[in-house]
Amino acid sequence: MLEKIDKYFNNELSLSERQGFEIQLVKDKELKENVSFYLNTRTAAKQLADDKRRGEFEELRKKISLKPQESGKIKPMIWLSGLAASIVLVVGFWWFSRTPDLATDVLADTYIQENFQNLPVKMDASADSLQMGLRLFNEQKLSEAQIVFENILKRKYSDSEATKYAGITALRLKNYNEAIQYFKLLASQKDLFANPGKFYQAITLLQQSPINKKEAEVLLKEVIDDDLEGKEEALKMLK
Amino acid sequence: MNFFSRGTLSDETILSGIVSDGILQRNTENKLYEQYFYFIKDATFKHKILDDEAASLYTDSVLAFIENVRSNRFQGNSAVKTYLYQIFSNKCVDFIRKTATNKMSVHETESMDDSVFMMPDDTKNILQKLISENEVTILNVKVKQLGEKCQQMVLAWSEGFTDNQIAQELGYQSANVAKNSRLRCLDKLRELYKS
Repeated sequence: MLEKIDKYFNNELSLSERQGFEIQLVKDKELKENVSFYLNTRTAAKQLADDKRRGEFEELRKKISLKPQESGKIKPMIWLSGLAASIVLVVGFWWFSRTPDLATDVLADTYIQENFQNLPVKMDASADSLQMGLRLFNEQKLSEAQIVFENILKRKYSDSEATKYAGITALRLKNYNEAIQYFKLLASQKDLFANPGKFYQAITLLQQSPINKKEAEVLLKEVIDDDLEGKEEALKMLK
Repeated sequence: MNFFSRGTLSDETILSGIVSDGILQRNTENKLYEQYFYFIKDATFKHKILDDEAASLYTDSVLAFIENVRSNRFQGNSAVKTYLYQIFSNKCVDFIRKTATNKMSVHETESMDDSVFMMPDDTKNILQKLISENEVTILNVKVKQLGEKCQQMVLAWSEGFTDNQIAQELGYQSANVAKNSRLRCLDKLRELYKS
């Protein structure tokens, strides 16, 4: 019965079926109860969804509020307006010249969330350390995963896979300086078929606060010019 | 979608981002929230309300805006900023008026399910009577007792996501599979509700 109700509210019934449904609704107690359940559930769930989103926005608000902002009471004295205008111009120029596009970090965020939530694991249940680290990463045990990758690097400092994953894990842990170091190490390895080191460095720079946009742009340009891994995304970012 | 044209998201990017899926949708909504965050400060000066009150009204305004975009009630006849500001301003005025007459929780009113509005008058009257605040409160608790996946699915459905979008977001093979799972979740919920 729920399926029919669902079709009714999704406009998936023919005109005659709709009319039949509406006539039945007047006299059929069971249908009425089910429609009541359906509508009340949707209202209840919407409230929960809104509450959840409200909580997320509140978190965001706290984050925004923590950012340094100009404060102070408004002084209505006219003689100060010239000085205030000058300050606004200077601050505005400084802010405009150093603040990256809001959208830049949207794309970097999106890339990280789309690509660094789960890392590819071999399906053969092999017990090697790298696979163990990746499984821990995918279980969101990031600190434990990092220890595993670091132990591999202690044994074999030039292991490109371990270097890459150590960097990604550091990035996910918001240890940006550490992540950049790993990605620099990765980028310096010249014998790799595909090397995303520079591209990863760039997106890490876009995550840092304050965001180092200029350096990120230089790196993205190098990724494009040298035809490196991440070129397509870099092109989108510099469009 | 050109993210890099300006320092703020364009109206077009905001609108297409809100109706997209998953992470991009969430990020766009967060950026929208951030982009017009200064409305809060404006309202504390203009309407003489507390920062927390203005923030709460702003959050409700953003949620209302998102809902209007998803349900196609926002036709794009005005700029996003103008439209959002209008919603926010109305909520502030409403809040002040209700506070002055000691009638709080202005922005917590029950919203009628959108689909009910579109029904013929006779049916609409019947359906309106079927929506009960008490039942909603009980179901609110029961939804939380569902498994995580079912909960995600029911919440996404309530927010107006299509089965196709739900399938993509939650990793189902097709819209049809997502729909069947969703209806099974509703069946489970009904059992919980009756128990």
